[in-house]
Amino acid sequence: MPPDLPTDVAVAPEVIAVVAGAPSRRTFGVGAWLAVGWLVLVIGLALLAPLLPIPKPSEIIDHGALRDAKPSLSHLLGGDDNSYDLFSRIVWGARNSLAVGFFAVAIGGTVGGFLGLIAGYYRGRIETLITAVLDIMLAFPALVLALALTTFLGHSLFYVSLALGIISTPILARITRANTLTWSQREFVTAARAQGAKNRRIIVREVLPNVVPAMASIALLAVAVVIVAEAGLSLLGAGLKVDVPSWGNIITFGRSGLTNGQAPHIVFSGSGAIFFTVLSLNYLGDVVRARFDVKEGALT
Amino acid sequence: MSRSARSSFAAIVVGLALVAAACGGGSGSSSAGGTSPNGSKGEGPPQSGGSITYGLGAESSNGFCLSGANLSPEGIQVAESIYDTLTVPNEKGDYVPYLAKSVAPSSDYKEWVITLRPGVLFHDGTPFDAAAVKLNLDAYRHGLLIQFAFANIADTTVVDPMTVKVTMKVPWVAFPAYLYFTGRIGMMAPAQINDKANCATKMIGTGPFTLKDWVVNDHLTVLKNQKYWRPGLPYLDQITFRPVVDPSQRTNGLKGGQLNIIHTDSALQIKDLRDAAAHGQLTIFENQKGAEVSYNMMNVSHAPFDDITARQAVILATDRVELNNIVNGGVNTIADQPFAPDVVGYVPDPGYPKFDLAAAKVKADAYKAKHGGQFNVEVETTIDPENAREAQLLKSQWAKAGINATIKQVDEATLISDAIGGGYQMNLWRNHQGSDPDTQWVWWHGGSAINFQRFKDPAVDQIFDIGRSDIDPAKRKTDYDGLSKALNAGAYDIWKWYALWAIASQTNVHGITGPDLPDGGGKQGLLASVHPMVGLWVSK
Amino acid sequence: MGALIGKKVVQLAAVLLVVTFFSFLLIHLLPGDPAATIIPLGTDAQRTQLRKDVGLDKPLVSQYTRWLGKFVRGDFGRYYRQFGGEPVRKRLSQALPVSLQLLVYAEVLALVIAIPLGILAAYRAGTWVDRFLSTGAFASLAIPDFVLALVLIFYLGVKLKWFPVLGYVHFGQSPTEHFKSMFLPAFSLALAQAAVYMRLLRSDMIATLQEDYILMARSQGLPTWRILLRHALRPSSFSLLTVAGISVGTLIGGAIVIEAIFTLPGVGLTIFQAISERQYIAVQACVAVIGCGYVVVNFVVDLLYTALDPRVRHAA
Repeated sequence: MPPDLPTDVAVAPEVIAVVAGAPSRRTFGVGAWLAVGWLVLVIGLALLAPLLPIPKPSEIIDHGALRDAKPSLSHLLGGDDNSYDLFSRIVWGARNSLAVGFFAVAIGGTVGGFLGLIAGYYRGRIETLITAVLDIMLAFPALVLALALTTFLGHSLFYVSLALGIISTPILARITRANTLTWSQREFVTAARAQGAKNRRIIVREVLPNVVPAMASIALLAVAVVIVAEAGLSLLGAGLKVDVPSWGNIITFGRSGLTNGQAPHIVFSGSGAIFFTVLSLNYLGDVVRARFDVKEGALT
Repeated sequence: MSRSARSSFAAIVVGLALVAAACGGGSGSSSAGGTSPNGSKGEGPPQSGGSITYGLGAESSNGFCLSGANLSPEGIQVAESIYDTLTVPNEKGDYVPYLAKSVAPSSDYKEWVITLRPGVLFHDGTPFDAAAVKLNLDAYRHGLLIQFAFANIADTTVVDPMTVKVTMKVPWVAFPAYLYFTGRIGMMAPAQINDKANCATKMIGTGPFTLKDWVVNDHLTVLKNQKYWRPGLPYLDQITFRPVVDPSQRTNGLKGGQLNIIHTDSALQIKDLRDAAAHGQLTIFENQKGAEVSYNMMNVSHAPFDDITARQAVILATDRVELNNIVNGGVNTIADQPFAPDVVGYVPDPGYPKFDLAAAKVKADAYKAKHGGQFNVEVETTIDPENAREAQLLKSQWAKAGINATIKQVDEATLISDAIGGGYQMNLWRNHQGSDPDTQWVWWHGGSAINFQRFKDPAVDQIFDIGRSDIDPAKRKTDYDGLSKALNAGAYDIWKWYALWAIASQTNVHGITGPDLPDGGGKQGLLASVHPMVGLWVSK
Repeated sequence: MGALIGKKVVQLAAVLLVVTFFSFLLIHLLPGDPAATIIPLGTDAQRTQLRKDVGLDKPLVSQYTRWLGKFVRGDFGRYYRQFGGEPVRKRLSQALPVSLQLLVYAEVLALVIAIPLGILAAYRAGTWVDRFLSTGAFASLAIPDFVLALVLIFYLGVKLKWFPVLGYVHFGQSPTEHFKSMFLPAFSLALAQAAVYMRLLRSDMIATLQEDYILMARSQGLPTWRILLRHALRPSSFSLLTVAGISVGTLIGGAIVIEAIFTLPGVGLTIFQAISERQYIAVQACVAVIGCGYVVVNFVVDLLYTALDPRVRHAA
């Protein structure tokens, strides 16, 4: 890969790199508050889903085909193809889609972060080895890798998250390594070393806190990519199981309602939820980078 | 500036056009896809020539070595173009000779003599003769599933080049129906049967069309058989069958003009197509005669459904009206038995219980009390989105009765394999196309190896044994009246509804019901999904 | 330079080995006996044949070398159908050109949309035009390609009948119909990509426009379009083209879903159909082919980059 391009992080979610790559001047303004507001709302609804005064996601709320029903106060978004309450599906879907998103990125962040820190801090052979492993992981287009894994492993929440976690690992590993490289050269690190501090202590106390903002900015984008990927897998029949509400499953099952024009609100609700969430995550990713001055060069 | 500004302006205009189009949606405008709004009536004399693309819901990727094939309704549709059967049903539901000149029993129905129509050629130019028919029947007697249907055949012999004699183990009245067997028993050329390696893909029949090429999962093209034994037929020069698995994309392809005719069993699509037909955009032909029944079949050799209490509980807990309203938009007709109203064996009251949640709870609790407080059910279905929806809804309904269901999605081959092997508890199934009830012997008789539900019910067996050899046609019509009741008493199945098939086409496609039969007596009787290809034509 | 290329070729070979090994391993991730899973409806003889074809009884490493040996010779195994089954290679050789066309069209379409808009946004940086375009691009990034595809199918395909909603027309059969049949799938893939490119070009171009030689050209009174296209675009498009090369991975992933939606007979549809028919040998082959193809594309992009950019050449 070309070494000094932002796209070096370009990973699978190659888009991430580029989204991240464009220089950002975003400050924490109205847009960021809107983004935070949306995410708080969605996460809050997802967490509180069992307590909310809404029908259960697999509770048939009408004996007829409710997808023809208009939205009302009791059913904010109307019904879906299965006469389930669409709002409830979106809320419970958020639980699963976000769970996959965050769980996958948590896997990616933990494994990738660990590898990145080790590689960036110790350098030498171990760095060469880790970089080689990451290159291999990037050798498959992300969705193809995820599709292959869920096809052969299975479609439980765990496996889907694992598959998508694996594709986000190299992204986060690379950004961590790049930033670790930079921070490891700083005076306070060399000073700590000179005082005989243990490597593990230096990594955890001195390097990691400084690397976190960069990781966070990319992690936000990665969550967005994973959420979209989950939906893509669903459409291919390789995502979460059909009876697990997720935004991807809402789109998959609402598909015919859109393409025959009879019930477009199902797909629009599911993809609207994805759209605003991805938009917010992308935006916040930009803001974090601008705020902590995560430079493109640092992404090498 | 000017150049880049103009091109970006153009791009913005495209963007705006999109938005405008989005706003203009939903107005039900009738942008006519054809010329004559009422194309189904007054079609006029058939015109020769032309070619069409036929959108099907599934690919028959296992091929067309018919004796060993397990064809889906879509596969049968393709087979209709390449092969002919010895008999076909007429509009009254009787089986009449088609490729055969006559099919006649001995007085005790232990021997059947098949006489052939002279001058018929296979696509490879070889004659259609008694040796070929014997070869075919013997192949069917060893076929994957059909061997069980033909188990009653003791022997086949060539009497002379145009005559075959079939000897039965026990008297068999319904044999002509088996020679059609929902259109599966096409006559293959010896060259196809003997070419074991390519039998599935190099199709050679006597039918109205010959195979041109087949790329699995992409298209299968057939060309007009210039030497077809029925003079003046077929009309079309070419048919291209194209698998389009997603039901809504199939409808879209028809509306968008990429497909000329489609085949669908999706009630929601049928509703949509009916609307479009009412606006004159296309024509739709629906058939519920001899319909298959959609049902959940239970495996009685396996917990929990080895216990009749469990079976009764799920039957009582299933609100089929609600299910039909949601899954099918209320389009389909609820079934209380496997037989459609026009089929022998149908009875007005087969004793199927009504939906009763309270009673279901009682049964479910009784089951739980006996089995450690647990009542878990695994429902197996295909990856088809509409089946998946149905399974979800069943799960929702049963949850109200305290029954905990999980959904297992598999591909169709695995579903069938699990049914054969017995490795399932319950599955979503569709079968039992209307015909002579004796053709259902294989599915429910205790002596059949492909009684997938694995019950041995003396009441059921007795009905089948009497019916099979009852040579009194009048009495035979009532022999099966107790069958549905017996099945319902055993609580083996959750009957849901009769399958509804629609064939929708652009308004210039005609002749879906086919021409008159060669020996007169009206047209071929259309059962369930199958319709003949020989009569299709397009107006210019 | 020669040494650098040599090193890269060695790297390429190593990566290809691991990619193929991973693809090979997929079959072993299947729970239970792969032969029974792949052939649920069939005879023991067929399952034995599959075990023999794959060499399931042999140690893993020799299974892999056997598989790899066949793979490099273009023997990708076959479909396991009730009776025989066609070679995967036959299907892939028909599917690959379709997918490649889709990828190229999507890429070209993305550039065609992005370049003028990127230039415009940079030229009008800070004005409402820029804000409109940049916001639009940022929003487009959040629209999943498959949602766009479904919307386009309904409005442009079913309602307006401007474009076919499914299928593929060969270029030789009818060039117009060919492009029409590819437009919706390609556009669905291209939009988000165009947004990425536009943002990138815009920021690079803004930087370029600050350069002295541009200011000089302006002061000489050269027409604006000439400055933008002749003097500013070329130096600004370097990272754009690199990113375009790298985004092939995103496009490949997206193309699988898009091909499945449009019944476009490419590799994506092949893999989708193979999954739904449990043709895992075919899935494995497709994954391996896509993986290797992608690695090679990256390699070529990398080489081109090395050849084009003096900084990299010297750095190495």
